[in-house]
Amino acid sequence: MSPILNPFSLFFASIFTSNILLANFLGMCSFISISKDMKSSNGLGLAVTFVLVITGMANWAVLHLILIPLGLEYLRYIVFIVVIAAVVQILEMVIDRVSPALYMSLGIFLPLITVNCAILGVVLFIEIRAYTFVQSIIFSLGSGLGWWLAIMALSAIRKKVDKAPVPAGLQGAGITLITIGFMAMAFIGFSGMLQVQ
Amino acid sequence: MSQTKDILKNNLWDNNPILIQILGICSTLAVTNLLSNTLIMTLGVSFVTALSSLTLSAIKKLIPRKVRMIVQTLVIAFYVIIVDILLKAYSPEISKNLGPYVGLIITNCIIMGRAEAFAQSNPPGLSFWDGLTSGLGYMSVLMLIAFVRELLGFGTLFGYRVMPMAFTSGGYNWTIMVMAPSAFFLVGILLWISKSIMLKNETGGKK
Amino acid sequence: MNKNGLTYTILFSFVITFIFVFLLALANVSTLGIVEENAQVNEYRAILSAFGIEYNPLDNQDIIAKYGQIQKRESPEGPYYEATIDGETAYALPSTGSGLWGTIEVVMGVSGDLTRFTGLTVITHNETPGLGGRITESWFTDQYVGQRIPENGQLGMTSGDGAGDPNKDDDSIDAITGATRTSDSMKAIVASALARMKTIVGGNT
Repeated sequence: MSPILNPFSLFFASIFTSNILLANFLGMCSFISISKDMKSSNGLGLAVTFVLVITGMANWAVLHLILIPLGLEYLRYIVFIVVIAAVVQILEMVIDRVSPALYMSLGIFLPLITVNCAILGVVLFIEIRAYTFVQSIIFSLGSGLGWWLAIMALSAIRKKVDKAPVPAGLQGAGITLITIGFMAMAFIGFSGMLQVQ
Repeated sequence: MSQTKDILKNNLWDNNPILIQILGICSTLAVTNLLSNTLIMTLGVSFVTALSSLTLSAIKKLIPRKVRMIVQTLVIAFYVIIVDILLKAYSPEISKNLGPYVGLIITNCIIMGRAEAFAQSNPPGLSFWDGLTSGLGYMSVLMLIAFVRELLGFGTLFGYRVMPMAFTSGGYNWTIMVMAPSAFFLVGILLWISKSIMLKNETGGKK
Repeated sequence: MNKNGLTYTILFSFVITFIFVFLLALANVSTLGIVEENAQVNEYRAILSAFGIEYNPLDNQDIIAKYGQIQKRESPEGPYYEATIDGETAYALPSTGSGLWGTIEVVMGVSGDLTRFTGLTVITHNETPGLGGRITESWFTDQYVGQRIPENGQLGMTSGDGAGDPNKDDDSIDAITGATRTSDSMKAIVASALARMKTIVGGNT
């Protein structure tokens, strides 16, 4: 049974209060290494959002039109991963043909995305929460935008932190994680927004 | 024999997946506010890492280069589904509590990392041991985080009340420990401590 | 045969996929019975707990036997359950509503005269583990057992100490720390279930 949810609160919750990265810890691996550089962060954020929406739709269709009618739900993890890998591959080819300029800025990030936990995470959330097709699109778009926002904010902060005197043991990943912690706290503050329903 | 010991020490401390490689915190960090959920999740990760390393090492000579990544993913997904099926059948309560997080073990970078870095060039037995100890190194750090979060956030350990009721009541409760930011802070602080100790050892060794 | 040749690659991919999928299908089929029984027993268990009937949680036979005393009834408001406990009639009503992330499915038990709750159990939910997911924990659900039903049918929630509100005669229980939205959803689900229960009981007399 699909839940009845306010589309706006779903959208805002997935961007802010339940940010896929800051509240669910998904997509951390590339997050820490890429956020060193603002330009790459922007490219990766765009790519993640793009792939999320497409895989969200594709996997919803595969689940509801193929796996559930055939009673093969137990194979879903394998199928989801194959679909994600295939979508990324096809996307790479299409972008290369259609817009070489976009390929230059996005292309190098696409292979990184296949192993990004955020993508599979969002797909699994869609499956387990039994979202409808429209809800899936809203949720995956919101999650992608949230991830993009978080990585941009973090890379901007890291630019400042790099110049700050940080204890030797805390340099690098340590201070980055603590920064992310503060960002997560700030994002929780958005929960006031969701009272408007 | 000393090789197995080296691997153990390496994976638990010198090259701890979380503290040094900062890998695989994606999926499991979310459930570290309760010890029991963390235990099941990290056991699942250890099980999958050990067995997928074993399997991949055993069939490594047969895998064509072009499809290596996809075969690795297939093997990992296979074991995760096994864990999922076992939990559903024999422990429905826990399976319900963990929800989608069991499936997310697939994307845990540690598993793929060990398969690529170790199992690819080592015999099956050692690969199994390497995967298992990596999982244990991972477990030890996350259990430590869960210990702090559950103790300060809920005043309990494994669901048993340890702290006096007043500790978590009224306006004095540490809600932040229950919520996501505390996990980031704790990992950050642990990184700080472990890195400081290592820096000290290094300078000490140079004398 | 060339290991990196096309024929071998395709053949290998096919064989290995076949082996793993076959093993998974085998594992799935062999546990299917247990999973189905679990789901059935889980539903019985939820209804028994909602009535406040004691049972041995580890003994499926005990649960199935005790479930025998409960009658399932149909009404325009959907199915509900009726049981007689110590000579008193009690009702249980399955109810669903939206939580923060997805559907929450509960069974609410009330006394025949609609003055007290006999219990409440959560069957399914998708809330965050350790936060909203704590609605399944006993300290939370036990608060409903024996709790007075407010006149207006709105059971309030206040922030508490995480041990549950022992006062059964006020019109509120403790909410879950860090999960305001899930607590609000529970409040709404219980209120709508109470309204439906009133219609069902009102229609009987």
